[in-house]
Amino acid sequence: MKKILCFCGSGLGTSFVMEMNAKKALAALGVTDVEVGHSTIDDVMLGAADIFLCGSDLKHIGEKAGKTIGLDNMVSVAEMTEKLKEALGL
Amino acid sequence: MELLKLENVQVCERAADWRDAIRTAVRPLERGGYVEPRYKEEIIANLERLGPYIVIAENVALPHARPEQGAIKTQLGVTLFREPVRFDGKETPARLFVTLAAQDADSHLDALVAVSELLDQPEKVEQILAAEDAQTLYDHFQ
Repeated sequence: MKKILCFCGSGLGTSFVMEMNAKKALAALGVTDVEVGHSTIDDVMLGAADIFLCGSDLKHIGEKAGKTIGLDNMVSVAEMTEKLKEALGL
Repeated sequence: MELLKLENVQVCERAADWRDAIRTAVRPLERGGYVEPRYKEEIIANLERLGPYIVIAENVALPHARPEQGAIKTQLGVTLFREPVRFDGKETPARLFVTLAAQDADSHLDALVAVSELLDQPEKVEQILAAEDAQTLYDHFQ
C-alpha cells in the first residue's frame, strides 16, 4: 500500500482540499491501493510517505523528504489527476 | 454557504501590498469577533516563514492560520480586490481572498469542500472576479 501525504503550512486548509481531490483523482484513475492523508509541514520527513503532495510554493520542502508533487492550482481535480497519473506511472 | 455572512463579504479597490491585503481580508472576521486581533499577524508570519502558500490557484488566496493562532469561532470571509495583489516570490497574483477562521480541526471542512468545488469551475471564478459589489459576490457563494 502506497502512502500519499498532502501538506500545507498549517495542515487544516489546503492540505485537506488536496487530500479530497487526490481521493477523487485516484477513484477516477481506478487506483485503490493508495492511502491518502493530510498533515502539517512539521510531519514532512523521510519515510512519512511514498509521495508528498503540496502547493508548488512548498515543493522544495517536500523534496527534502522524498518524491513530491507540487500543484499550481490546489482546487483543480484535473491537475491533480494528471500529476498523480504521472507520479504513479499509470 | 452556511459559514459565510453578507457582512463578511467585501469588494475593495486595491491593497498597498500583500500584508495590507491580508489585514484587509481578515478585518470583517476580526470585527465580528471570529478571530483575535493577532490572527492576521499570525497569517503574515506564516507566510514570511513559508512563502505565499495560501495562493491556492490563479487569482485565489485562502488566508488562514491554525486554531491556536487566534481563531475563535469557525467562519468564512470573502474579499475581492479589483487590482491584483502580488506576493513576494510568486508570479501568480491574487484578487479573491477567501479568509478562513477554524476553531478546531474539522468544523470548517464542509465549507472548505464547497469553496474548493466552486473555485474548480473556471467560468464561475470569472464571474466571481467580475462581481461589482458585495451582494453579487455573496450570491455567487450561495
